[in-house]
Amino acid sequence: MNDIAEKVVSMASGCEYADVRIENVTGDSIILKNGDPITVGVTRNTGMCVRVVVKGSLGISFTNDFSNKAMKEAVDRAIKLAKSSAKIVKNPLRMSKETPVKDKFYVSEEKKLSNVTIEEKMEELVFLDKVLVSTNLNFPTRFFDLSTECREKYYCNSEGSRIYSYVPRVSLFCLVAVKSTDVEQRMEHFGNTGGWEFFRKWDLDNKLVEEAKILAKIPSMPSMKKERMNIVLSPELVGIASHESCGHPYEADRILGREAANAGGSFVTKKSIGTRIGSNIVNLVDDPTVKNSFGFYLYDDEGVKARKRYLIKNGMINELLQNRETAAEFGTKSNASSRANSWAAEPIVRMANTFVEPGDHTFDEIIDVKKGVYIKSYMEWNIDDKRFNQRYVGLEAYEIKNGSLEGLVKRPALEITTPAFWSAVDAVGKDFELTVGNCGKGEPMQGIPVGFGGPHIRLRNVMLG
Amino acid sequence: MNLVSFATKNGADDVAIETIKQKSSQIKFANGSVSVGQNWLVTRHNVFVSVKNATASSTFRGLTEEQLADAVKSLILAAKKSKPSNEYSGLAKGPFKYKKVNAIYDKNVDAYDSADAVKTSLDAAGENSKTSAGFFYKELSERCVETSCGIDAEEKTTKLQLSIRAFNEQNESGHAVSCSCMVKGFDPENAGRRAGETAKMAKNPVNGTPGKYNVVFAPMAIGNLLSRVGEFSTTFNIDSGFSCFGGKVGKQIANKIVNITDNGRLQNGFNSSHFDDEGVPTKITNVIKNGVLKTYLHNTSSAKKHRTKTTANAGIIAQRYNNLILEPGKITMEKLLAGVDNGLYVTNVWYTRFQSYYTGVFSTIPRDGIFVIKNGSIVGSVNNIRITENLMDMLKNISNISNRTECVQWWEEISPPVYTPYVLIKDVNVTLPTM
Repeated sequence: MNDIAEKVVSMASGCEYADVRIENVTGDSIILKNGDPITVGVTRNTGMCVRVVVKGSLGISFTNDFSNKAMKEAVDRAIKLAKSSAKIVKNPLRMSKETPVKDKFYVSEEKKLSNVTIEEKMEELVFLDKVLVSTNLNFPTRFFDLSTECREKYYCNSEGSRIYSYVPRVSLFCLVAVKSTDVEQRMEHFGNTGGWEFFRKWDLDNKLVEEAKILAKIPSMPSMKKERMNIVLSPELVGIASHESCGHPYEADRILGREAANAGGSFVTKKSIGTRIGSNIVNLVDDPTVKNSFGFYLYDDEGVKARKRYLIKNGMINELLQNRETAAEFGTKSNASSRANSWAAEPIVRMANTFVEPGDHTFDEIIDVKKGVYIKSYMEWNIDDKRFNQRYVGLEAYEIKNGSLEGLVKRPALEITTPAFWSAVDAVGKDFELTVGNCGKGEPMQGIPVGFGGPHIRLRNVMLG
Repeated sequence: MNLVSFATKNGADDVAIETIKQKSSQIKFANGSVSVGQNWLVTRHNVFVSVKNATASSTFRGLTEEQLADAVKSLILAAKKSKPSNEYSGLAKGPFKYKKVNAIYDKNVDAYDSADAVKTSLDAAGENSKTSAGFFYKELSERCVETSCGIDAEEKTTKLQLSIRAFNEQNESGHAVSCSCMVKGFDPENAGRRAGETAKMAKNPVNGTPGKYNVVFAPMAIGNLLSRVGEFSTTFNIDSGFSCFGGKVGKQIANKIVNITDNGRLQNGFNSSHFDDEGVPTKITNVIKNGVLKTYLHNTSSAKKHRTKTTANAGIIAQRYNNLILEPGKITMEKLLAGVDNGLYVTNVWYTRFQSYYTGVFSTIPRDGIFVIKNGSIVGSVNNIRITENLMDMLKNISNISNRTECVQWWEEISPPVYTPYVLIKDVNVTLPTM
């Protein structure tokens, strides 16, 4: 990897800037549907991204042919494309000045993913499926998609950065449907960086069985009256709201309009930093360095060292997610938010792990209200392309009366603007949990592993939608 | 080395190998300026093997011949270690004869001037808008499918796509696309102009009002929902719990004016091809006829399970639609709109998410131009609304369809492409943030 990357960077020595990222991914996958092993897969994926800046224009080539001729052609194509685009570039690309880094980092595995056979993984899924079936609930669907990967990456640029990384990652997507008087579904994603040990830590058999029993009860539960009340949100709901209505709108490339065609823009502007967006107990961060998290990394795909970013501090908009290009536009430094989901994708501004920092309330204190609803999980959610108007519809949810959780309620919906959401927070729990997902952005679309979560929080006196 | 022979010699029963060599490039633009030019020169092998009905499949990219052989061996080993699948029952038996699909390859695409297409589109959008963002994409693809069941087929395809979103203020935008396999028929200027015109029309939007409306959906908007119809029609999604069409074949699921086909052979179809991933010649399939769901979309294995014939929609593991087409009606879009007394005209939607795939309960968010219709005329622009509905109800409430079809595809919101006219749906539920 190293020699190839060095060679390619030297081929682009006449450019204002060049960097090369080579990735080699190995792994495997299993789909089990209703107890039936639909397919297994083996991952072998290697390739290279080379970026050049010529006349203030950015050109990128992707290839998986490592012959000298093909690599030279890739560099030449990137230069040619940059030059041809330069005639319609109004604002020449600038990059923030960053200190070159030479480093290596590895995520360790207690039980190496490569040492766990397909049979063992299959047995785990089949066991899980049997545990569900043994409940005697009526399951129209039990769907599991397990994947493991070990991603080796070598990054080098014309400024002297040289970074090697090895990141193993294990993830499981589940969709379970239970039929009672009607069908209810639950989609869930589990994931960590690290070894196979995490599969056990997810405690899937207990968790999925409990959730399935709840699904069976929901269809016959009453709906709640649409009125003002106190809404308690679980870490799962806090996570999705943090990701959608705080992480995304704080992506500096969105604010600059670079992703406006598809992923959209942002209600946040260059002038928003230092303005109030939430109550003063809201502290919301994006942190790539959380050990073994799904969105973990120590250097981004521009070779910048990762750190925790405070997006909201004491209720105020504090910091945006920046790569080197946007940082130069904002007159600041990159905070290592540049990520690509594979060698065949352009690095753009992305989140890592986005969450509300824990506060000082116990769960009992948080639900200590006269009237309210506790939303523990969700299926349907969405948000507009400025990240202002959002909706979360509860799946497992309970009525709160006089400080106690009462019976299940059916599909309470929270349809609310972003400032109204974060301004209504009046209690933040001591607890903390990260959930995971694959976040979509970019053109072509790049799904990238991220974490999101936080503690339980309470929204005071908001209207149920 | 012949990989199919290699795989069978190493213990695979059935083998299918799809090799795709792709040369593609993209110019992405924002704020009226190019933000990046990207190009890909990539070969990938989609390999499927079965051993005693246990299946394994993977995409391999960037491997030398020796590494590829090793990867195929690993895949066979994985299948051997797996368990038999009840869903797999063999590949299509070939060989087949392939009738030419017209206008899916144009040798002039390679030399097509990307920068000129972008500039033309930007200039056209700029006549009515302050700024725009989007991308131009071109692709040359060589695809070969070889199987252990007598298939050895190859084809070339080309693609040109431009997607542009024009803005005046942030809430005043319009989005349009042009998609074509051929240089002739590709019209970036028209896409730019239409995006700009919608942005201009969307001037000074005010908050919408919740309630039930008769809604005219433009192709980008209805295409988003029809793409779900295409996805929900595949057997894989039905069996996996990602569809509300399970058990509905032969049943009325839409208004009787609704006719939807999947056409893998469409002339200049943006996702047309001569054969599916098993090598079966592509077909035209009636998915919904006079509102009745006629069939699911099948590959060979799912067809056997459902005692029918493949519709040539492989994916060997998961089927997919090719070009989904809503049959046009008889009236113009202008007359369709003029027939609405009190309604909305929605030009685009995004972020469609389901509360339950089984029941079809979902919401989606209109974006770009959203217009109020009073007595058949557009009288204003609104924003911040959400459509909160049930897909099955909406299909039944389709009350009119315009007479001209457009091809729409953008991002993952609509992909593969949908060919659709404007559609009027009555009693659509619209909600807004409560605070």
